[in-house]
Amino acid sequence: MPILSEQDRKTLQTRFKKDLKRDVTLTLYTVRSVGGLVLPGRECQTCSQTEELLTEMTKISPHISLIIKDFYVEAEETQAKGIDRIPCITLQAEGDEPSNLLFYGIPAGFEILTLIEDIVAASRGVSPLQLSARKALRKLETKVHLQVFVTPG
Amino acid sequence: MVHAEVVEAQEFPHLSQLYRVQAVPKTIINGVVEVLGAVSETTLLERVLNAVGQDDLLEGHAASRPEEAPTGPTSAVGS
Repeated sequence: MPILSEQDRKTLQTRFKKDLKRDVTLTLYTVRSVGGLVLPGRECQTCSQTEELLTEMTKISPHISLIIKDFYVEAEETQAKGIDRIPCITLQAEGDEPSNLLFYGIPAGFEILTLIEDIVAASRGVSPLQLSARKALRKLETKVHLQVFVTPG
Repeated sequence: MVHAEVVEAQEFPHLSQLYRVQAVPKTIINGVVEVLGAVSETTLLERVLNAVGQDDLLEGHAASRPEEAPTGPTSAVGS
């Protein structure tokens, strides 16, 4: 059974059709099972559901594509990107650098809205922040690491 | 210069415990500063700039309204 309801699908279709300009690639870092089996210690409760959800989203818009990578196989890459747990989603708009945003955990419930807004912002290449905030942030001299804790709601 | 992570609190209990996440949203800046609740853009910007000692960059940005609460609304994290 699909994760997104028919109603969700239609709403997203309308939104993506209206607001997506450039293609956006989602990368999911996960653990791939072999014949349904995962090595002990590498179990991931929401990885397969996250993959299913993102796959459904790619079917809603031709502007969204998904790359799936195994966290353990791509250890060097994940380390370089500072990804230390799974499932983890990153996004990159066509012609842009990968975004500095990581989603840890399944974007379920209302959290899917956060991911959708970020996909739209990346695709349009426009920040939703006020101009003065963007100006201030451009002058930052120190790295800022934000961790926003959420629940599906 | 800004890296952001959205963390599903219930899926990563060790991290939630580390940062004493009892209600969401909760934002942690550079592993130290805690911002509780859904605060305005201006409040979050102030906290970020304050955390890195660059409060001077706030000039030109609309100051937060004095009546605005220091923390925003939250929901408790279920067990």
